[in-house]
Amino acid sequence: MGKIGLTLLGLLALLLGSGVWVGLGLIGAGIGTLALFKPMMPVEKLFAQQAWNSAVSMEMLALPLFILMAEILFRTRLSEALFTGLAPWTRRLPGRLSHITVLSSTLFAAVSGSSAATTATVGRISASELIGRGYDRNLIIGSLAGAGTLGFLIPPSVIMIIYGVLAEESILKLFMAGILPGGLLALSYMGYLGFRAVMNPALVGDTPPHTTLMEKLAALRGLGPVLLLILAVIGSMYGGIASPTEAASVGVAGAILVGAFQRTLSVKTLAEAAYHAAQTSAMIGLIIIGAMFLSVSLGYLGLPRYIAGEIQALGLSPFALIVVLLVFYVILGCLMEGMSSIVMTLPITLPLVLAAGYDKVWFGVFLVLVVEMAQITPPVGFNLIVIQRITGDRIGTIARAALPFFFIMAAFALVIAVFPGIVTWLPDTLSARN
Amino acid sequence: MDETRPVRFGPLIRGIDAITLAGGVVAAACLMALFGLIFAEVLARNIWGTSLSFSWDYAAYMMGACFLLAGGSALRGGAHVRVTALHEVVPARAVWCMDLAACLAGLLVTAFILWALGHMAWLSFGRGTTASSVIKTPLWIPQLVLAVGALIFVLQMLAQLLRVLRGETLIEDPKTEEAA
Amino acid sequence: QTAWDMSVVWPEGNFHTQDAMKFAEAVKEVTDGDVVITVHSGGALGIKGPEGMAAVRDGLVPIADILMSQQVGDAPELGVETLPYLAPTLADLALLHKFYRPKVEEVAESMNQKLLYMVPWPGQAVYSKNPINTIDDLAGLQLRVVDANGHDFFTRLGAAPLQMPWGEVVPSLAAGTISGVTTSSSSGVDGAFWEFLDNMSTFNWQASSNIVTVNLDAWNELSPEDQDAIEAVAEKLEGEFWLASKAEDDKKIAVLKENGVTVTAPSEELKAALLERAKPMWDDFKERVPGAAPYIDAYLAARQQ
Ligand code: NA
Ligand code: NA
Repeated sequence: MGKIGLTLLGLLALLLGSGVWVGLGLIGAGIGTLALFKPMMPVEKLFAQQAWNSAVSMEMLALPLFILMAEILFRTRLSEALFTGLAPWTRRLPGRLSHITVLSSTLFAAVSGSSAATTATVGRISASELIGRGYDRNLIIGSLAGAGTLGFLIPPSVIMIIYGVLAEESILKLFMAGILPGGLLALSYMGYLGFRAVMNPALVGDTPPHTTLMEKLAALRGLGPVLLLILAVIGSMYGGIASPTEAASVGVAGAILVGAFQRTLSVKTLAEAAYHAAQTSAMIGLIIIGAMFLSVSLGYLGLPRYIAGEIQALGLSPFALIVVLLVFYVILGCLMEGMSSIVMTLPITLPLVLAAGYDKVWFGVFLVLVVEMAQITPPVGFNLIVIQRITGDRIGTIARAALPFFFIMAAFALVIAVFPGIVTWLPDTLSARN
Repeated sequence: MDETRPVRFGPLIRGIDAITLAGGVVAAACLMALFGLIFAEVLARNIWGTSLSFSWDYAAYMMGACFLLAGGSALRGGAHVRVTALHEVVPARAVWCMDLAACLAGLLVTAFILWALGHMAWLSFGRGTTASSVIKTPLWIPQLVLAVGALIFVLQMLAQLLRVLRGETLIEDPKTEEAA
Repeated sequence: QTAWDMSVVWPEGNFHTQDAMKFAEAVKEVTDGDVVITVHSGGALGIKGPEGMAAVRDGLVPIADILMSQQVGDAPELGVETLPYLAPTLADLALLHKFYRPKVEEVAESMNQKLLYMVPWPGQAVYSKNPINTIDDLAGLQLRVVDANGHDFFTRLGAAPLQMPWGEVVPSLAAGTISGVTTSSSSGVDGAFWEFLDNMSTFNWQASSNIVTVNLDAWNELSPEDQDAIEAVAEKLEGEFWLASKAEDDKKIAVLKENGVTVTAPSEELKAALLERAKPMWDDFKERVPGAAPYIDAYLAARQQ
């Protein structure tokens, strides 16, 4: 097993280090490892199957839709209006407009089931605007990477649905369990941003000029289209009109309407938006294909299962078990797509965690946190890749900027291990009432 | 690089770029079709109380087509991500060698993708495999579209290799393409 | 020693997965440890439901647990069981299998695999907000179905069937975007449907079975003694698994009731009306898949007697 792991890591380091495109590098590493250690496997058939499944996976349809929506909104005056409208209100707030990234990620997470979609949308609308307004590049990129991950924790959530099916736990309960931790995590991010701004005021943009209340209210008018769009998307989903993926299409339709209404969107700019969104989707799609193929290859080689079994053999105390699992999933999350790492290890880790006295719903939220951390660890970190596409920074730079937020998440994972009530209180209270 | 050097492989690269652009445009159309299909389902259910039994299936095929058909155009535009940490610390000659190696490795892997997807479409055609959902679409059709996308990807990778061979550097900043 | 990875798409706790694990254990025992099967639940090997037989055929896995009706894209003949009301009870299904099993074996063999055992799911129920007492209660019901037969059947019944990935179903039920689901008692419990829907009607309109098949190349590498032992244990366990399936249905319906779901059986009038709408679909199917017609006819003739 050690040999398999080292070979894989060596291949990945060689391919990715020499600058092979990430998705292709993952595929290459998977092919090489399978060819060496599973010579009877028809690799091309396995790859074709995984590529096909990932490329036409209905669970992922919302992602290109939200990318399209963001590209359309980017070409309207919407983000400018959003920031102009909110700026006067943040004069006295430490961190000022930098909180917008966290707040809009939190809001958007309530619409989108995935972190990549949340990051892509919020990032496209806010990142360049904030950097243009003099906010520190690393702070904005890092907070975007961190807050974008809320997409999985705040319902709806693709990961929670998968976990609910595998662990046979109520998905509704899992959704409820994500709300409070999601909110607290968002607050932690905002607290960190405020703290950084107080320590070093140069990190945030210029103080907005003093304005009267009337002027402040007038500035808010620009928020109208944004609010309407958000209401339309959230309303369609919670009002029984559209399923979560369908709500993304309502978002696209709304964005086109906003653009048409503002007269900022022509057929030509719409076509540009679609062309650009198709490129971004293709880039993410290739990486998803590579990550799924590599994950499944590891599964056939038995690596995740083997390590999980070794952890089982250690016979750890409950808290030590959680710490070791945290480290295990973080390492796995560097290489594997988060969902696959859960699918492959759950049959071993879930009984362990339950035997240690933790709750099934609790472990679901813990795993979501762990998957979110995997979103911002290189080389396979979808949020990093999405942001790279938006800002053009290098993966390493983005990963470094995201590091404080990674630590906030890790600390938060340990906090919920010590105080599991943060997770279980809301679902227990709400289901007790029924 | 020397400006006066004749532009080698010019016609070939221009031809590949034209095919790549076409792939990107069709991919964008697929993305809009994806949106149209899903949004039409919302309208159909809420206005006419009926469901379009094909919307999810075809939207998913459109996504697959979009992913693969825009693959080459994403490569051309510098949208595909790569790790370039090492590039910044080594001399220019080494960067050139690494880019060449990356293109060669990329060519191998994309050729593998083309072979695997083409083979899958061929098997589905020969076996007569259809989707098992309500709309029994013969799977070789969407799978062939994916394979065509992979072919464009291979061609554009070849064009990148030729560009490196004639001394150009690979496009890194997605913003440069966007202006075009 | 032979080590086989077995792909199962159901979660660890599902009774089909549990059956597969019992089978793996029994195989290890009867072959004196010659054949060791590792069960990978939850689709951990990346093989989705409709790809089960293709994956075994192509040698991606040597053995898999496969939902037969999902394989109609590869072999339309495997859709026989899921015709509405063709075999609504376990006794009917057992009779159908008596005639139909050789066909399944033949299809499997044509796809380079060997059938080891087949186990039914509990019948398909209809979960809905309002009780369904007459056919009119189905009018316009936005009901999530999974296959072409379901779509066709409920369209004929005046409902508005729709397809939707499973991940969309729970949020959509919670928000009222859809108003019903048709699935088994097992899946109803797995999805905790009592959180959204108060009624379950045991339509049992559709049967379906899982099959466990093994790749023929992998099979032929075993010694004849091991092959005989595995075949014998598969046959023995199949009987137990059928009983377990029946017990599973009773158990899961009890869980649904415990959680406040009103479980009703369709009245005789409703049943007759449903059957009347279902029968034309049998003929349509026989016309579309002539290879399956003789097996359906032989079963129906035997049931008449
Ligand atoms: Na979410
Ligand atoms: Na990662």
